[in-house]
Parts: sequence; C-alpha cells; structure tokens
Amino acid sequence: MAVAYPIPHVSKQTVTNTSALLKFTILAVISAAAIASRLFAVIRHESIIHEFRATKVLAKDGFYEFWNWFDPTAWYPLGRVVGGTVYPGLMVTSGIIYNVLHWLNFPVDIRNVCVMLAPAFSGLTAIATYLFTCEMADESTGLLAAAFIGIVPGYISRSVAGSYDNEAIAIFLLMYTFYLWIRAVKQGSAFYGMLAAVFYGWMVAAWGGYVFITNMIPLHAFVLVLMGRFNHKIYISYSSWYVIGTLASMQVPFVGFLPVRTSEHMAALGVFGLLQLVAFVETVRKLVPGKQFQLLLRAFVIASFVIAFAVLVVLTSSGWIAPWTGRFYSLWDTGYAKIHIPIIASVSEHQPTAWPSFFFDLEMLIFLFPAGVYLCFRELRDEHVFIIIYAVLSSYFAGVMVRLMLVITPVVCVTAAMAFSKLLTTYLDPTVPEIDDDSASVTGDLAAEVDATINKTKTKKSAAVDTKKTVGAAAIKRGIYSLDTRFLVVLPLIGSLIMFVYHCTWVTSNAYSSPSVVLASRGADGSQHIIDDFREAYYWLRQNTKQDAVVMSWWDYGYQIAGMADRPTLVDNNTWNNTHIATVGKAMASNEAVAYPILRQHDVDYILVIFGGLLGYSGDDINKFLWMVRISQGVWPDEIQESNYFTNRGEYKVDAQASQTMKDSLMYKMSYYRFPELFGGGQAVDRVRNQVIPNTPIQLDTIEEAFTSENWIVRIYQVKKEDDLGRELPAASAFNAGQRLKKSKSAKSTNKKR
Amino acid sequence: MRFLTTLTAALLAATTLAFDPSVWENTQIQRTYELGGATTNVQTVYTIKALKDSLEGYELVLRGPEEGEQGTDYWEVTQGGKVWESLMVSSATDGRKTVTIPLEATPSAPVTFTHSQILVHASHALPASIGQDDEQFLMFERNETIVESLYKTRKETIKYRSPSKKIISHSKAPEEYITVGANPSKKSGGTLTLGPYTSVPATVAVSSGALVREKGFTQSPMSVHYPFEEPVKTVEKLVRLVEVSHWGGNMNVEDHIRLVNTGARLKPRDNSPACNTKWPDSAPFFPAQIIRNIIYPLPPNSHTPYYYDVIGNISTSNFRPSHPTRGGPAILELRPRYPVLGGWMDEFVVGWDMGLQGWLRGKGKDKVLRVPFMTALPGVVVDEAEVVITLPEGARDVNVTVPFPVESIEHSVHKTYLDSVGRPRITIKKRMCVEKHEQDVFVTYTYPLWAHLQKLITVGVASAIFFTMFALAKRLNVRISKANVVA
Repeated sequence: MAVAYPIPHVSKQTVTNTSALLKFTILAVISAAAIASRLFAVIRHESIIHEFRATKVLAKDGFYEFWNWFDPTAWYPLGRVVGGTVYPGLMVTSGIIYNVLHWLNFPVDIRNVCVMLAPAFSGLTAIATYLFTCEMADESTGLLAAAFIGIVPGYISRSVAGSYDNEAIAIFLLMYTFYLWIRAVKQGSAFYGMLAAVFYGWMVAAWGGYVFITNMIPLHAFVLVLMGRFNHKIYISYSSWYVIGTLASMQVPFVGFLPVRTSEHMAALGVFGLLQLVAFVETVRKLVPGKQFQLLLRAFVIASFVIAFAVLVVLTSSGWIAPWTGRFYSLWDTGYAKIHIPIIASVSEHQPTAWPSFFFDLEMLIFLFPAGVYLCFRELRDEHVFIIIYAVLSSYFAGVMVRLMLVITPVVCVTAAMAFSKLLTTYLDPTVPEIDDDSASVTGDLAAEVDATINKTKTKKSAAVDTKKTVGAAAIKRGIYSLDTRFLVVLPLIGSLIMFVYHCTWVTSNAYSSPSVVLASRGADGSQHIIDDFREAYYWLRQNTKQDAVVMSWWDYGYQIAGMADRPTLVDNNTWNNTHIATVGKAMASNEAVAYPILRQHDVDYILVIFGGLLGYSGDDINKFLWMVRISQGVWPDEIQESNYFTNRGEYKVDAQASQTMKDSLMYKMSYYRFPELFGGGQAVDRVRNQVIPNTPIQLDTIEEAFTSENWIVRIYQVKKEDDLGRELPAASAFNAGQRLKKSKSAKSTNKKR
Repeated sequence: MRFLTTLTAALLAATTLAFDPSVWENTQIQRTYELGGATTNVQTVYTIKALKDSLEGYELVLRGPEEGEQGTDYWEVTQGGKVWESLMVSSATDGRKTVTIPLEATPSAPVTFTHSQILVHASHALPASIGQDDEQFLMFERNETIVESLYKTRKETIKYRSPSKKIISHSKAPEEYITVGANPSKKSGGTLTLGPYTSVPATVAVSSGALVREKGFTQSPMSVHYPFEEPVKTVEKLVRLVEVSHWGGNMNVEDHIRLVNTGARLKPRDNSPACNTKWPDSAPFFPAQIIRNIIYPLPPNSHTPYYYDVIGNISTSNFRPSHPTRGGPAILELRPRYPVLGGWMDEFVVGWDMGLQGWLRGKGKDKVLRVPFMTALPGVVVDEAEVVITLPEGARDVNVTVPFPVESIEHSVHKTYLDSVGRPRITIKKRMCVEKHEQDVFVTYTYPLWAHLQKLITVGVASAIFFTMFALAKRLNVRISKANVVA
C-alpha cells in the first residue's frame, strides 16, 4: 500500500496502550482547561456571588429545613415558600459536595463550593460530551468535541466561576442524559434506560429547561418509529426511561403532578402509549400472518392514536390538562411576550438572538455545524437521527431567545467536531489510493507507473476525458494523492483551531468574566480602576440599617440586596408575582403623592435606585424605567400610561423637554435629586443619555436621601414616617424649609378670598 | 480551692492592714490630661519624699474608691524614662485599686516617678448628633479631679490639653486648697491648668483592706468641652486568628474587626447625602469626623496581605512592604468600603502572612512561639479582643504566657484540612485594649519530628485504601450470566 508519508512501525499493542494513555491525558487536560478558562472572573476580580441563601440554609440546617424553608424576607410582605417553589437540584448538589468535603475534614466554605460548582461541572460536561460523541463517531471526534465544549464561549457565558445558576449543572446533566439514552437505544438496555431516567430526574430537579429533554427523547423515539426503525431496543429503553424518569421527576415538589397534567409533558406520554401499541402490533403480526389482519391492526393503531389525541384535546379544553404556559407561547411567537407578559420581554436575555452573537458565541463551529449535520444524514444510524432532531429543534430555540444559545451549543460542538474530524482524518490519512493497473494500461503509458503520483492523476484525468467509457468501468478510488494537498487543507484547519482558541479566550476574558456587581475601567495610564459602588451601598445597608428594614428596588437588584445587604426586599429576580412587581413599578413611576401611600402600605423603609448619569453607566434605572411603566401599565392601565412619559414628539427624554409626568415621577426625582449641584452651576450633563438636566432644584417631601455611593451609581433614600404633628408631609417640609414660603402661600390664598 | 482563695485574700488584707500613711509624702504632683477621642492619656508625675525609715513601699492609687471596674485601662510606672518592669504584669482590669511601688523609704533625697494611664471612652460627643459638615465637639468628664493619693500632698497642678488648641468651656474648678484669692483655673489656648493646690490631705484611706474615701474630703467632678477634628474610632470587637505552619515556615494572622465611629452621630433626618463628593482624590473638603482610612502597621517582612468583608474583597487599599534591606514595618493603608460617618459601623477582615523566623524559636522538639497580641492603632479602643492561636497538628504540652492579665485562656482542639487528631488551639480573651497592649504572647509547646509526617501518612493511607478498594471493585464480577453484551 502506498503512503504519502512514512509511518513508524510499532506493534499493535503499543498503539492501543499509547492511544489509551493519550486519550486519558487529553481528556484530563481538556477538563482542566475547561475549568481554568472559567476562573478569569475569580482571578481578575474575586468570587462574587449573590443568591445562595437557600444553599446556605441547606448546608447549615439540613435538608428538611431547606425543604420547608419559608423566606419571609423576599417578596415582602408576602414571603416566599422557597423549598417548594425552586428547582432544588443546584442547592442539593452543592449541599452534597459541601457535606462530603466536611465529612473528609475539608472545612470548605459553602460559598466557595457554590463559586466553583459551575467550572467543576463544566469539566464534567467535557467528559460527558466526549462520551456522547464517541457514540456518534469515533473517539478522536469525541476528544475534539470535548475540547470544543470545554472552551466555547456559548457555554462559558453561563458557567464562569461565581455564576451560581441552574444552568451551571444543567448542561452536564443534559449531555449525560442524552449519552445514556443513546447508549440505551443502541444496546436496548433497560439498565442504561434506567440510568438515563435517574439523570433525567436530577435534571428535572435542577433546571426548568428539562422540558427540552422531556420532548427530545420522545421525538427521537417517534421519528424512529415513523422511519420504520421500531425494534425491541427502542421499546425497552424508552419504556424504562419514561416510567422511571416520570416517577423521578414527580418527586420534585415544584414539578409535582405537572408531568401528567400539562401539555408540555404530553408528548412523552403519547409516545409511550404509541410504543405500547406498536409493540403490540408487531407481536401480533409475527404470530398472525394474513394481510387483511395486518391492515386491520394498522387501522386500529391509527384509530387509537387519533382517539388518544382527541381525549387529550378534550382534557385540555376541559381544564384537566393545563394548556401551554405563557412562557412557552413566547417561544413560538416572539411578539407574544411583549404584548402579554412584559416582564419576560423586559429581560435582555429573553430577546431574539442577533446574528452576530452566533459567531461571537460559537466562532467557526457555526460554519461546521451544517456540515456535521450533513454527515449525520450520510450515515443516519439511530443516534444520528437524534443529533439531527436536536440540531433542528435547538437551532430554532437559539434563534428565538438569546438565553437558549446555551441549548444549541452542545450539539454545535458535537456536529462541528464530526465535520472537523472527518476533514482531518481524510487529509491526514497517509494511504494513497492506488490506480488499477487496467486503467493505466488503457492509456498505454506503462512507464507512468514509476512516475510521481501527481503525474498519475494528471494522466488519469486526461485519459478519463479521452475515453470516458473505458475508464468508467474502472473503479476510481477516492482519496488524497499528494502531500501538498494535505498541507493545503490541514494547515488552515490547524490555523482555524488556533484562532478558535484565541477567540474563545478573548471572549471569555473580556465579555463573560466581569461580575455585574463590580465595574472595572481603565485609566489613562492603563491602570485598572475598580468601581465598587454596588457593594459599597449594599454593605452600608447591611451594617447601618435595622435588620428588618424593607428595601424597595427594581427586581433586578433583589437577589443582590438579599444576598449582600441581607435585608428584606419587595421583589427579586425570581419574578413569580407580576402584580407585586407592577406595584413597585407603579410606585417608581408615580408622583410622590400617589407613591407615598404605596410605600407606607408595604412598610418600605429604604428605596434604592441605580443611577449611571454621573459615570456613564448605561444599565441604570432610568434606562429600565420604561419597562417599569409598561409592566405597571399592564396591571393599572387607567393610572399609568406609557405615552405620558414621552415628550410631545414621542421622544424619551430627561432634560428640560421631558414630560411633566416624567419629571414628577419618583424615579426621575430620586435619580436627579441634587445632581445639578455637583456641577456647581455649570451644565449638569447626564453622561448616559447626553442630555442636560435642568438646574431647578428637585423637592422631595416624602423621602429623604440616606446614602449615595462614591460614583453616585447607587442612591438610597429613606421613606419618612408620617409627620408627628399629623400634617401632610409636603406641608411639613414646606414649613421646615422656611416660614416665608408658607406665609406667601397663605397670603396669596387670602388675597384671593378677598 | 475556694478555701485557698479566701486564705490568700485574708493574707492580703493582713498585709494592707499594716499600711501607714505617714511614711511617705507627695512633694509635688503634676497631672496632665491629653484629651483625645476614644482614649485619654493621663500622665502624673509624682515627686515623693519619705518622712521616716520604713521597709514599706509607696502605695500608688490606681482608681478612686467610687470607680468601678472600668476607667483606667492601661497604666505603667516609669522612673528616669525606664518602665518599671516588675509592675508591668499588673493591669487595672485585674480589679485591684492600688499597687505597691517597691521603694525603700529613706528620708533623704526625693524620688520622682511617672505614672501613665490611658482612660478609655472618657469623652463623649456633645452635641450627640451633628450634620454631615458640622464640627465635632467632645466632652471629657471625670469624677476624679484632685489626684487620688493615700498620702498628703504639698503641691499639685492638673492640666487638660485639648488636641486642637481650643477649649470651648469647662466646669468650675475645685476651689479648696487654693491660695485665697488666686484663680483656680487658667485657660491659655488649648490648655487648661488647675491649681496649684497646696497642702492637700490624703484623699483616700485604707480601712479593713479596702480603699475608702477619707473622711472630710469630697472629689468634685470636672468636665472639659473641646473640639475634636478627628474621627473617634472604636473597635467593638477584634478577633485575631493566628495559624502556624511548620511545613510552610509561615504564620498567618487574620484580624476580624468591627469598627464603629463613636463620635457625634450623623443627625437623622438630615437632608444631605451621606457622601456627596467623590472621595478620596477629588474631595476638596472632607469633614474631619469621618473615618476615611486606617493605617495598619504590619510586622516587618509581612507579605501577601488581604482585606475583605462578608461580601468580598475591598479594592480600596494600599500596601507598602517593608524595605528589603532596611526592614521596618510594612504599612497597610486601608480604606473602608464607605466613609464611616458618625454612628456608622464597618466590619472587615485584614490578614497577612509572615515568615516564622523571628517568631518561632527552639531547638529540637521544644518550641517557643511569639505572637503579637494585637496591632496598635493610635487612639483606638478595642472593647473586646480575642486572640485565637492555632498550632500545627501534633503539638503537645501547650503552655501560654501572657504579658498582662487577661479575662480567660481556653484550650481546645480544632479540626481542619487533612487533620486526623486535630490541632491544639488557644483562645485568649481580654476587654478594653489600647495601643499599649501591643505586646507579645508566648506559647511553648513540643513538636516531635514524627508530627511533621503525620499528614503525609494520613493522606498516604487514605489514598492506599481508596485505590485498593477501587482495584478490588474493578476485579469483582457481579454479572449473573455470561450474556453477550453489545459493546
């Protein structure tokens, strides 16, 4: 056999051993790299983590205390049943790790466990992806896929150290469940089906996105049945997965009976029923020959499927089975949320994905992705069908919501690795295809055999042109002939791999590793300035206000206040009560006279606003203000109207032209209170909106400034209690401001009377 | 045990019963109060003369009979610039009110010595709350005006020195024992002088072992109102964690500090923002009573300092390590997360590492460890100090020597990373500490050679067990039948 370049001769045993060692080492290095690249945030800044109070309770008081934990400080005055309204997987996982470490005399702080959980599970994800890809293709592809998922920004964006989110462990569970499912389907093993179910149960406990698996696996089984690939392996693996998985998922209190009562889960149940029917038909078909009988049976299958579907529809319409939830609708219709659930639309990560972000998050993988899917079509084994379905579904979801980029990332890595690996194996394979002697003899140029291979192809091509028919009979072996072709392809491939690593590292370090709480800026001399206003203010709240002082802020900062300031909040990032959020929005958007009763009814002691006008921090409350208005308009359309906050020309402005409603709103007043004073009579420019703030002093009657951070990013106001003398607060503050004001007013009124 | 204490008490009473007030006489007493924030330095220069030969020493009154446990919180006696070492061990917090200075009475030359005291929390803010930009005033109050003494005094002057060259007002000075017609008090700039008082009788006496007020003498309280242009810093609680590693040759010290500005409180319902200018650079004017930074001196050759609180690292700090050749203390300049205004509190942790050389001595297995009790911060009172020293695992026969009386010393066992039997831990507690309490605690213990290897053996055994079990599990066949398995 001709080779393009010499290969050293080693025994087969040595090759196996070396490759096993190499595989292990490479996988270990990939895991390490996956963990290491997520540590930028911790090394650059530190481990900042907001919401892990539930985990703290779990670690400190034990599992049952956590299960029954009622958090009175969140959603004041409603409180929140945390144990029952949360996906506990994340907390339980970190709680278990914490307890195991403590049992081994490693007194690790629960906080550090939480911080390092996401990187650690990313390392595991790399391994799970390796296993999954090995089922699809060969092991070298698996290693490539593991390397891709290890550092791809689309996944890192959700799993840097310190991001204590459900997604931190969910992607590992997703990949591992899929791996086990594929294995179960391939082997027809009830054991692997059960394992898949157990991991599915863990996934259900960990992330609301488990619905994706709940629909992916049935869809895979269903498509296989439609393709006529039904066999006992699918039957065994699906049945074991569905039964155990559903039971396991129902153990999570927050999920409860949802798997049998909501539309999202009905596909899994339907496919389960369908498989029983198909299996029954297959069995009967084997035993009873006869075409008519088969036809009858087929009719029976279809009829029962239709009946089952009809029953489903009836049950749904009669209310036994809950219809699709609003959050689900927003997946089908991107405009739905904006109209019906503004609270979902107000979150930036729920916006449709912009095209550049695909490249930003996946770089070259996004180009290789279709190629990989194509390769799946070429082979089209059962598991490849799975990849294809996964690719199609997740492409859609990733396009609908930025947040769901996370779901597409694993399949992109796997398919891209398949394509890449195919390219590499093709071009690195040293075998040179041989040309049959017959075809060579046809050309009559026997001496060409001794010539260089390039000449061979040339002559062969010319021969093919000349005598099509004669050569057509001869087998043309496909392959790469020369070394330079190999170099020409392999070198750019390696180059693109290197570029990929650079891109990933750059994106990770620049885009995804800055904790939202700490802002870093570069000075003129390149030195780093840390802007730590958030923690300055939160820590002030923690140390210098009463333990039970209620803090009102927009919901974005709820978890931060609860975690860092340790004070009760009205609303937080768990946006379960739209009305309560709308109430806060209303208080912020109304004038003082309307807002004050709301504040007092909710026992609000402090109001916290984020103001970026001095520093140019664009993520501040004035920029979010329209969402507050919209959300409260959804609940009180009579009192709050979005149009009132625009100028006559329909612009959103904060300068002198701003509408009166805007200027009277509590948010505007709190943001710009005393702001012009900083400029000492000069023009007070808001650096975010580049508008000049009018110099007229803002009068606050019902609240007073309590704390303003160094760069004015966080401003905290204290709500005044009712006046001791029973006056209206505006009157009281007017009285305090000076007698003359009051006199002139009364003088005017008396004049009028006269 | 109880019997024993009663016995010693009785013995003590017997010795003090023999007290004779006519052995000594104070020729002159000069007392100077350096008014400050949380601490007030009092320096009293005694010139004494023996009236007759006696073996009895001079009995110095530390606290008046009316004073409780609080009051004087550090004292020392110096003669000719040298601290009287034998008296150093005592401290006012051990409950005693007098101390015997071992002088042999010979009625020849007069003896001069200085008694230095530090009073804590002797001044309070008046007005108690001020606006953010207002000036801060403190009021110093003490019941004891005439220096308490068991002996007669010929001449006595008392001075109050304000830190700001200004005294707003003061209460009326006692007019007894003043030369008739003379002004009992003189105020010039920031100094208020009382006296001279002449022929002052003994103010206290010893009666059945206890200090009592001399009949016919009454102390009149004195108060001085003065501006104070610095923040009044109080550390409510200081926990110093010290951990020693023989392997790393390192001592890690970590101070958990709860700092309160105990000066004039920020006036509630004040319409001014807590901090309306960018601090620190661009602030043209910053009210003096705000704690903006703390200079924290670290021992020489300290390295890798850290400064954080419950919610993470505090990025505003500067570290100046000691000079590589000349040495000297390393300076850590801390800035609280937010400027600590009157009545506000800040809690943080400061920690650093330092090499064991210079701190640990001893050849073979017997070791002596020197641990600084606290870090001196001028003018700061530590209400509650706790020093927790963790020795390496395997240390035994632990003994602690403290330079001054403390409330309690506890021994316990602490288990942490890779420990099998745990590490010995000493907890020392003391209340009301001032900068002078920056002294060394000595810990002696034995640390045998095999203790160095204890961790290695533990880890080795644990991993050996793990691998053996894994190897066994791998070779165990639990398959029921030899069915064909699809790979």
